[in-house]
Amino acid sequence: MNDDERFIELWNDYLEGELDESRIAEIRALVEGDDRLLRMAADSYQMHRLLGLIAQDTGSRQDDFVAETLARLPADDDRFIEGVMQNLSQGSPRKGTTTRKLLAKWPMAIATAAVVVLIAGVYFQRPSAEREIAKITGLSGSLQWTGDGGRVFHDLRVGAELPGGTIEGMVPGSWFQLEFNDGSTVTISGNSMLTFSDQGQKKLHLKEGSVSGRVKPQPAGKPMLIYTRSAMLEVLGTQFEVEAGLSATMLNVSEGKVRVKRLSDGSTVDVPAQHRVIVAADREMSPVLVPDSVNRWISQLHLGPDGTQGKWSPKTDAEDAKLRAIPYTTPQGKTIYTAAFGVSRGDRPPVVLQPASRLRVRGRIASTHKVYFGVTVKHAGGEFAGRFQTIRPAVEFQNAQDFEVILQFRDFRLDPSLIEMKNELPSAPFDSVVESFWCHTLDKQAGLEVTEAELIPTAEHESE
Amino acid sequence: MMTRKGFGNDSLADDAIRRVRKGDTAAFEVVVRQFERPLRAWLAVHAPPGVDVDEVAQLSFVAAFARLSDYELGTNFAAWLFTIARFRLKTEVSRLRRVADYHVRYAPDLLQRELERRGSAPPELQETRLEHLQKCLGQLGEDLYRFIRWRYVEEIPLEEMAALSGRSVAAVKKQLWKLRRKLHACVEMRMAAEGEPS
Repeated sequence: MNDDERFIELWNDYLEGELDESRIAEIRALVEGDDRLLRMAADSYQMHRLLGLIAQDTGSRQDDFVAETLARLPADDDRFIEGVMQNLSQGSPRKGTTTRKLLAKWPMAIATAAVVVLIAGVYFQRPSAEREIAKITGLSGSLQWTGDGGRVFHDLRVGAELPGGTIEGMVPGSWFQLEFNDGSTVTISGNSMLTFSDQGQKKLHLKEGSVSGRVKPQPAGKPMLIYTRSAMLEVLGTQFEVEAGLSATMLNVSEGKVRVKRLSDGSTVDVPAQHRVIVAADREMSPVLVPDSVNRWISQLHLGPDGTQGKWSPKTDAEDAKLRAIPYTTPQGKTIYTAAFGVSRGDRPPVVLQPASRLRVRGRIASTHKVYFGVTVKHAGGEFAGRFQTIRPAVEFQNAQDFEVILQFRDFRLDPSLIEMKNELPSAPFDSVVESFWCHTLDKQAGLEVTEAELIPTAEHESE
Repeated sequence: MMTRKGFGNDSLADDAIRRVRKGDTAAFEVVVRQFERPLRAWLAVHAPPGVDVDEVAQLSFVAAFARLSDYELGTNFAAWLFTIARFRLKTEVSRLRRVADYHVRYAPDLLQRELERRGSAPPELQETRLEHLQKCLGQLGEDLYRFIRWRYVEEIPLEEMAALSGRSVAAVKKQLWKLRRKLHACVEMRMAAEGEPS
């Protein structure tokens, strides 16, 4: 085989992402000093890229690109929505993340129809007989609200007032904040399900997931009550965070005091500020100081799927334990394939990000696809602090290959869907508590699997 | 001889920019739609391996939007946008260089010099090249075009392509190489016929 033939063979493998280090060195040696081969390589590379562009340049892809771009524009005010609303002559404009997304995603005519439907939905489908007890003050990600005798709504928007009902976060990145009429706020994030009511006394039922709250002083004898499968919490006025699992409840109190009752035996305990307690039938129920934060975390899939979202597989002789991304299709028809890990959860210490923190992710992908990696972070008191993400190109994830990526948090950016809240959220995830780590592909089941994720605090001598 | 193509109606973009400046932010969609394809095409052929072209393109539009007041109406918006994109691309390449295993995995230095040299050509040439490529693809017979479809549209693995075509994987790779050369030659011939520098 002469040099040209060898070059062609190697370059084909290069374009297919199949070259290992030794063969990359070989091809470099071949091209070095040979301008003809270099030009040939560049011609082939550029043609390869143009063919890829043409093949994927469908109308819907262009629409997606335009929508994603528009969603990333700095939103210093509501001019975008207002402008469209004024064009529609639909009366006074209202702010809404969902509306903005619709407008960004669809051609204007469809968006127009959607806005009309959305407005009609909000104003006319809402039950007039029920009293509104709270309003939505923040939301993002896929959410589902069930109210009005079981009717399901997806088109929620900031500012909408709600009677009692059930709010459900559908994906790890979901987030929803509700403000009761007395100014008390509760927030759910991730895959959580919360039923709320206020018939003179606020009652919340957390079926799964987590809720944090900042509660104003409640009327005498009528504390806010929060029920989980294993506990009942009495909240008079405080800041707290509750996480509910099948057999245990974790309560973390930042300010004030919360009384906890274990449902299995009726025993109670008061949890003061800066303390936490785990409520479970098989363990002592005594509050302990919230542990100091740490900067290191590693997934432990070999121990089981606890705290994860995805399809978990145990370790075998041939493979490590792994978590496979599972699909969720939004009401708008977009499918997201996600694998997620709870990070600061249960009785573990809070994990805090440093500016030099890195995340190493190992896994495998069945077919080449770009991958989104992100973290959902919260403030020390449990309040939502944003979702930050980075996108790694498809070329780093080759067909049926293991991958390992090292992600620098300085490259993470605020999730574009939260752009309207950018002034209320930190500009970077540093010094925040990591609630969850997630990764996903969009629109295509690329067979994304994660075998290990590790948050690494960079040693001082390594930091820049 | 054809004259070199531009990026469409410049006054359309300027009208949209005027509206954006008056507060009609939604009008920026007109700008994105007009330039997304040529910008992505230019980035696709000038970005070294490992760069997410869509990401750089989107960041370029966002940067252009944020600095729209700097743009002088009636000048050349495309040139202004592509200058922003060039800087964005440089920034992204610099970022990738800091990634520990980037050089080992992609050997970007192999291409960097040549791609940079080609980057000095007018950006609108890529749009012309893209149009010629589509015509060249249309001239391929189905027996050849199916390889392009399998590889780039359906993205099926080489092994599966080999099974479908009854050839070895090595033969499929060679076929793809030949097809890329053939298409390159076809495009360059068309460019030369129009008097465009290639």
